[in-house]
Amino acid sequence: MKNLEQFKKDIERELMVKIIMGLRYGKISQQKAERLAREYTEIMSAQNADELFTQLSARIEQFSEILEIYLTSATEYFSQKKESFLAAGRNYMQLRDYDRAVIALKGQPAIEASASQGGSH
Amino acid sequence: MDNFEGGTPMTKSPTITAAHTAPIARNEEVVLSREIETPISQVENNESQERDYSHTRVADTLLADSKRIGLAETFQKLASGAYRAEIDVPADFDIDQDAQEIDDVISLEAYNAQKFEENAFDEHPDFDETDEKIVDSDQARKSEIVSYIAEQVHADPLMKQKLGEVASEMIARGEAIDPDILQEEALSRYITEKESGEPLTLEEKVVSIEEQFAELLNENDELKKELTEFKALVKQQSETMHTMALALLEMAKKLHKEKEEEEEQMSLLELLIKLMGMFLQEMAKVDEDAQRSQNQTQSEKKAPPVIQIPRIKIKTDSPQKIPKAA
Repeated sequence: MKNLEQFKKDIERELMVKIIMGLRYGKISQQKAERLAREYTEIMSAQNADELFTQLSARIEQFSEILEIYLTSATEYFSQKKESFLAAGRNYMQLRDYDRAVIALKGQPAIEASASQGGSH
Repeated sequence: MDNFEGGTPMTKSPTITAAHTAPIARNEEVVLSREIETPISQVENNESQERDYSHTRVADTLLADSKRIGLAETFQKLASGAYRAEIDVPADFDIDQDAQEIDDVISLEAYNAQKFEENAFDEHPDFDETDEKIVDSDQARKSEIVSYIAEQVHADPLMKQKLGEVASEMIARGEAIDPDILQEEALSRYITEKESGEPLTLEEKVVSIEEQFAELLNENDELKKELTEFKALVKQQSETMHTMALALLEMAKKLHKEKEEEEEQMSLLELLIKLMGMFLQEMAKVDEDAQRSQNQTQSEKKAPPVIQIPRIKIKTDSPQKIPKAA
């Protein structure tokens, strides 16, 4: 399971490789490389993984390099997220706490589950 | 590096294909170091050569800085434009801009060519000896250039190879080797092979740039399609997850309800049993009371009460005679 820092490091590395290869093969200009570097600075200011991939997805239509990076890293991130939801739901179902299991499967944290239960009662 | 002095035509810079964007190994040092060892592509004219060389230099500098100061610092330096100062030639290489400039040049050349054809002889009504000499000298110059090019072509190893190939084919077919036909065939093959490599004129350069642009557009379309498919897949997965969650919720509610019903039934049954028990107890108690009372009544009937009558003694003088019955 990767954390935010590992995802950031991967994206950073992939982007630098793409910039270097793009410059070397003449696929991108230096202006574009500088723009990509500025976008990188904004993307890396994300505080959590969701925000990181939201910022990436906001730029995929402008930069094909960011699109390629997003297609590889986002797949891994979303599958990881799905696994965590399923694991949380499984745990609650084993404890026969079905209300919380459903909420965990939807991706809401357990604190909200207790709050929603308290609110519903 | 190719030997320019031998007259070898320069090769075109490699077309950008999917191979250049193939997945890279995670070990960045090995991968990026390997890139440095690949030969720098050669280009047609000095301007493009300088432009590519400058970009390659920037790429190498980026790689070196990444290793030295780290990726984050390198990005910051790149964003601030620090690498631009290292380049001597203008670094703004924009395909669209160059294509536009080339278009302008071509249109200007076409205009000039058209004007020249229209006014070729009309604008020179006074065709005197000096002009004739100029024309003759031009023609001499042209013939000199043509003969030079012919020598260069014949000196080219590729041309010799083509001559050998055509000759061997003619021998294999059993034909007599005609030098003119041999030359012509070999030259056509030579030209075909050379022209398939690179554009030599501005028009061909424009065509190649247009082809690259079309390839990039196709790549863009394919990536957009992939992105659309990816979005649809994510949406489908989220819908599936949602449906699964709803199904699980229903199942959980059903199980919970069944459990509650079961408990309720158990409690009702217990209650019933208890009630029955109580009822039976009461019934038994009533029977006992009835039995007891019955027993008591029977015993009272069997033994009537003994009444003690006190005996009264009557004292008399003579015994009384009891008159006889008449």
